[in-house]
Amino acid sequence: MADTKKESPNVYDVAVIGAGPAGLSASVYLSRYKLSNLVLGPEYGGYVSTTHLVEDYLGFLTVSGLELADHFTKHAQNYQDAEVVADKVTEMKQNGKLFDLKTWNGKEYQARSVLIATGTVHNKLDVPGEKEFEGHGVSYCVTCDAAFFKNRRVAIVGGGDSGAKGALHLADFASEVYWIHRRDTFRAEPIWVDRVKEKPNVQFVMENTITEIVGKDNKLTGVKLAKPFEGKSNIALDGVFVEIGSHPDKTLPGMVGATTDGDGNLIVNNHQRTSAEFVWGAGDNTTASALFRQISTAVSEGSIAAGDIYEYLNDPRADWHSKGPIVTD
Amino acid sequence: MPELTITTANFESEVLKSDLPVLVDFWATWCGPCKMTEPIVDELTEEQKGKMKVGKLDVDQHPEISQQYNVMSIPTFIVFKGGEPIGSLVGAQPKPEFDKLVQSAL
Repeated sequence: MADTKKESPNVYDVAVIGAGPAGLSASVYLSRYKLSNLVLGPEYGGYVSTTHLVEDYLGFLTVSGLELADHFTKHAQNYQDAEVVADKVTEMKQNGKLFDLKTWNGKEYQARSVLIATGTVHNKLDVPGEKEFEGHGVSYCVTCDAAFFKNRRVAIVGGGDSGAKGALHLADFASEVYWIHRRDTFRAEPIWVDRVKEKPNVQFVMENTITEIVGKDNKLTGVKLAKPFEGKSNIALDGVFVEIGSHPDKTLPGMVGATTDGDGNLIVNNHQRTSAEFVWGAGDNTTASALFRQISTAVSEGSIAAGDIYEYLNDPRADWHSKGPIVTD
Repeated sequence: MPELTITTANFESEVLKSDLPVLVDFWATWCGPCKMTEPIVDELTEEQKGKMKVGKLDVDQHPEISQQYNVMSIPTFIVFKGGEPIGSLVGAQPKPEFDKLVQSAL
């Protein structure tokens, strides 16, 4: 099966787009099936690599996201049939029996099949000043940037697990942390919220939102709030961390005619097949994970997809739609 | 890979007192987007030989320098000329953005 790679060094049996748990898990299985596979993703481990702590993935009582991402990546790289490259697919189109891929770094590849496992992209606050101060105080990655805010004042926005873990991590660096959440209850696992409550330097700003991020000379100086907090309508800050969820990017599915739902999730059936032949989907960007985006669900989908890719590529007479309908409405 | 590793100890001699402009790549070993921009930084190192120096500074090892230049996210790229920062890029950016940054210093 892996003969295509011998014909041309840049033709693979499978292009796995995304190097998160779904893509890397798929890669491990594909390699074991001796399918040449190229994993292309901007970050090894995907979002996992930027997660402070993971405590809900079986087999690890507590592990840093970075360490877990490293385990995932090394596992995939352990096989000769896999190539894992830090790059991002920007263009993709079907060209006869192959898919042509172009990347952010200007590289070109071809593959007989594609697994779209691109995960999601961060939601933005969409308030004045957010874009202006991105990278100059506004951050979407706590673990990446927390250390730059040692003994400074920061806010973190968002009431989910990422917001809670972010507040916890920031509390170890910043002098003051304001956890801003628009509701009066948290979506985060209560165990995380309890731990944040134990941190003396975290203040809870509930049922409130940021209306503007302000600063001068390329430096963030604070935020304006929708409602007063402790009698003031603004908070002086050095940094604002945004953790208000994420959404799938439907650009790549659109390039190969794979259908997405109203929220941009790639529609897949029980075998991770999409509406486009030779295109599979796995992980946070699919309808299978849309209700519960977890490392475990992504790993599972990646594995199922790899098994099905192996079966389908080995049986040229197979009917793409034989494995159950791909419901597109 | 740029041969020049910038540290707190050599920052003054290699960057501030350099005869050539210097592009400093503020990075860390664990930073995914930093890895993604590595091929671009390598390309620039080759292209700019003799015209501009390209060096890497590990923000975990040398936090004083990052703090001094207000680096709050990585990767951050700052071009220094005559001892002063004259332009910067934050985050993984495509090659044309780097070309613009480099041209502004030559």
